[in-house]
Amino acid sequence: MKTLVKCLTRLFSATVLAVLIPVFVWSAETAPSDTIEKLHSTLIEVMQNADALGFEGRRDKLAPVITQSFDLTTICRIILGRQWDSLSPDEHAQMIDTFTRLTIATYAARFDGFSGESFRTVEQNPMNRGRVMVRTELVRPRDEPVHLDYVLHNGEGGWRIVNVVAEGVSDLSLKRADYGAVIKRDGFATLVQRLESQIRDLQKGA
Amino acid sequence: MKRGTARGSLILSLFACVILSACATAPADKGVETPDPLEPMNRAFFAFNDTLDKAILGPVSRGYVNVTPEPARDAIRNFFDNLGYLETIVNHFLQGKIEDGFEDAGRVVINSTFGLGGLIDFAGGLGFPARKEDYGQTLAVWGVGPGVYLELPFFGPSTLRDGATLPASTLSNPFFYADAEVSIPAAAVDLIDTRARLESAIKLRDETALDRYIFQRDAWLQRRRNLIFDGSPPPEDLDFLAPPPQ
Repeated sequence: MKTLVKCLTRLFSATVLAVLIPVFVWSAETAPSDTIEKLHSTLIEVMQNADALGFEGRRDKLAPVITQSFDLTTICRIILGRQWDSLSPDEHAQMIDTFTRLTIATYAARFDGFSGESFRTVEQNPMNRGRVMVRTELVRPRDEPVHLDYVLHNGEGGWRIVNVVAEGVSDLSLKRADYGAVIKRDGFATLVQRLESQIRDLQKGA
Repeated sequence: MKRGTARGSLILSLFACVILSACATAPADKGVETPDPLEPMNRAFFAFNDTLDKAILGPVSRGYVNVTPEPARDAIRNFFDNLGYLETIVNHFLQGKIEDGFEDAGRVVINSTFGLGGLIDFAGGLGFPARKEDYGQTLAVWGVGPGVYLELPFFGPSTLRDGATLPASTLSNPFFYADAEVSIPAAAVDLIDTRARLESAIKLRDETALDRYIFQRDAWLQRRRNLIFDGSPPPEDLDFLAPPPQ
């Protein structure tokens, strides 16, 4: 009996390991640039079919890729800075939910057409604390390229984006200053209300 | 004479303001919040500039875009960029970027001749992209700090360092030496075209910002830093923003 239990336990552990090891190795082997390239290829696809998809179609297509490529929890925590600690778990969840929908709606509204653009990954530089910067360009046939630098960290769910720097302007710092001013002056509830109204405007404007 | 004294004391009191407020900035906040000791004054000028833009400059520039075909607007932009390029060349040399200075001097020669007096960016097509240098960037490269953030009436975002270089910029523009009949309409067209090219940035600001003053201030300061480091600034330190990943 003892041997049978031992045998079964071994079999069970082996099965668990057999399932887990490939998952672990796979996520460990995913490079930061893979995350970016997946995001970029989805964006190009969405741009090419922008009219056929419409705002809702673009939003639905982008949602899974954006939630996978961006570490939106960390992003929200950084944006709210010291204020984050004074909020309740429910407020944290509310912030993450609103901000996730805003991010998706922003991408769905901005990438609303295609005129021959393409993305190019330029280089990948290590940063402190194991973070990585992937430098890319949005190449436009009739204009100068737009420089987009992504900062990623390797956490839960593999390499995920924590910041986008467009032409030297850091989205994280900018939102931190902007949202911080509102929360300090008008409070958390107003911040969420205003973000919700931005989501509605993006939807209406598209 | 009396006016001169008044102006002198105004400048003195401005400097006093700046120095006092610079001392009052708590070093503990460094890097977390953008220091902006003149925020109340800056916000007042921001509101002034915004009103002016909504009432006059914005509508005029949109009208200009509607009536002027894109190739003509491109030619106009190229023409002004070519004339204003002297400032970029001078500042390449002042920053010790001798090769860039000669390359950009060549750019002006090529565009002024083959590019029909600067209307066509011929050198750009040959693989010499336009660059942007100015006296403020040179001072930064020389180690002069930005000083306080300033929102200047009519000019918009600036810093004490960059604002102080405005006269030198003006003197570097050949139009300054032309007759008023030429220079004033030219400056007006340049202004309208510049505003037209900012349309998408202004639209982005108005759609994205919760506090438009703060959004514009921080975006401008970061963009400026990017220019000073020629597109490769040292990455910002995220560690003050977030605890290290576990």
